[in-house]
Amino acid sequence: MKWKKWKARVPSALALSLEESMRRDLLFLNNPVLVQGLALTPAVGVTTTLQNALVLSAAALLLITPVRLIGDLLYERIPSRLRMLVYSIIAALVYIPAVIILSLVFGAQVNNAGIFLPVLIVDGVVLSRAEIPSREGIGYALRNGLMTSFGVSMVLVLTGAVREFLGAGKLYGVQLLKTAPLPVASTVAGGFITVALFAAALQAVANRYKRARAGGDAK
Amino acid sequence: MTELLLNAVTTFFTLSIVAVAVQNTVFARALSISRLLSLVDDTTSTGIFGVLLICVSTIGGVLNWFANRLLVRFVPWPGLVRPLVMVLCMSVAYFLVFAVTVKLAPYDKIRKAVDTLPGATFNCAVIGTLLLSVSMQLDLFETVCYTVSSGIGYVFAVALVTEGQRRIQTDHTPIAFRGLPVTLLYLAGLALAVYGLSGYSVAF
Repeated sequence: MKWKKWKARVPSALALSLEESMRRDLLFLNNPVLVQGLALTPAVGVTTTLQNALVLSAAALLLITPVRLIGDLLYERIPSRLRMLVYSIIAALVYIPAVIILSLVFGAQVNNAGIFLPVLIVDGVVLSRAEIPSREGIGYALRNGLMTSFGVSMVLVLTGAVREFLGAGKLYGVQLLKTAPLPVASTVAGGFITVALFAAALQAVANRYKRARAGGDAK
Repeated sequence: MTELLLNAVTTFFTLSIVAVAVQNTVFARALSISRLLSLVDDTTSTGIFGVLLICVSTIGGVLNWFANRLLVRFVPWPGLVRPLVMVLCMSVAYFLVFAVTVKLAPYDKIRKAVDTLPGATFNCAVIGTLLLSVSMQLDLFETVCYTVSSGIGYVFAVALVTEGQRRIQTDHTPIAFRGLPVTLLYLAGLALAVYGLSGYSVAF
């Protein structure tokens, strides 16, 4: 009885429409990198090793949600034409403590990210919210910020691991193979190819899921 | 005088080749791909975006060159606040370009440019160019040459990808690869072509 009451009050994931559930699923079906095409700069440019990927993932976790929350709090006070400017300044301010934390956790590894760490502050994944002409609310900002961060981090870590293994025969700096199976993976072109193959794989799975859901809904 | 002029022209062409082809912001550094992907769907705003991006990155580059000299002299940890200073320089460039654009023509005629300006200012290509000009320790003239050329290089990349879209987004492309994946593979092909200019040594 209790279960039925609870189920009636809380909308279950299956009760959502296909479009709505896809829009909300920022980890897989609407992944910020592989589906929306955001944060491609760090994903392609610098995730040549798992260490770099972890540094950038941590940076994404420390930047995306706070910027989204602060931006949402100030949203109605900012004129629409200045929203990207203000979000960029917020991101640049959040970047300062974020880099201090990253340096304490990862040490000198932070330097390996080069220009791609500061570049993250004006990346689409941080600023995309500024281009949407409606406030999302603190709760949704927190939820979407965290989901986006995890969605980005998941792709960065996966890409970093695959590229390090293929490009150098290593994983987290540990030599696994004597020669690199595919050295081109550690270049920008290799980054494009790796992310493209992940995006295609996800698209294939999402298409199958959509067909299955559509079939289930029809029944 | 002639020697000075020749030196300036040589510097400009050398940095132009570096920024447009050898170290293209998109193909060699993967900067601002997300913005590029949104532009290739909208060919009319590509030209406007390109002009605005070149203006903003050049003005921002010059301001950043002066700001960086002060930063290095007076701030103990310049690396921490450098992105903030760059964003502020980009913001000043944004207001300058906005003011000039609004002065040039009535609002209804330049509405597209005004709407495009925030995206053309606050993106990875602009801040990436500013960061690179600092890390390459360029002087003021070199900074101007590099920022102008990088902007041209970005527009060149957008034009190449826009042209490529017509050939790759067809029914012959497997369904799973349509959209983002095939565009990224196309970018990979172009990036590999750039290695023909810059050289790529296989790390065996």
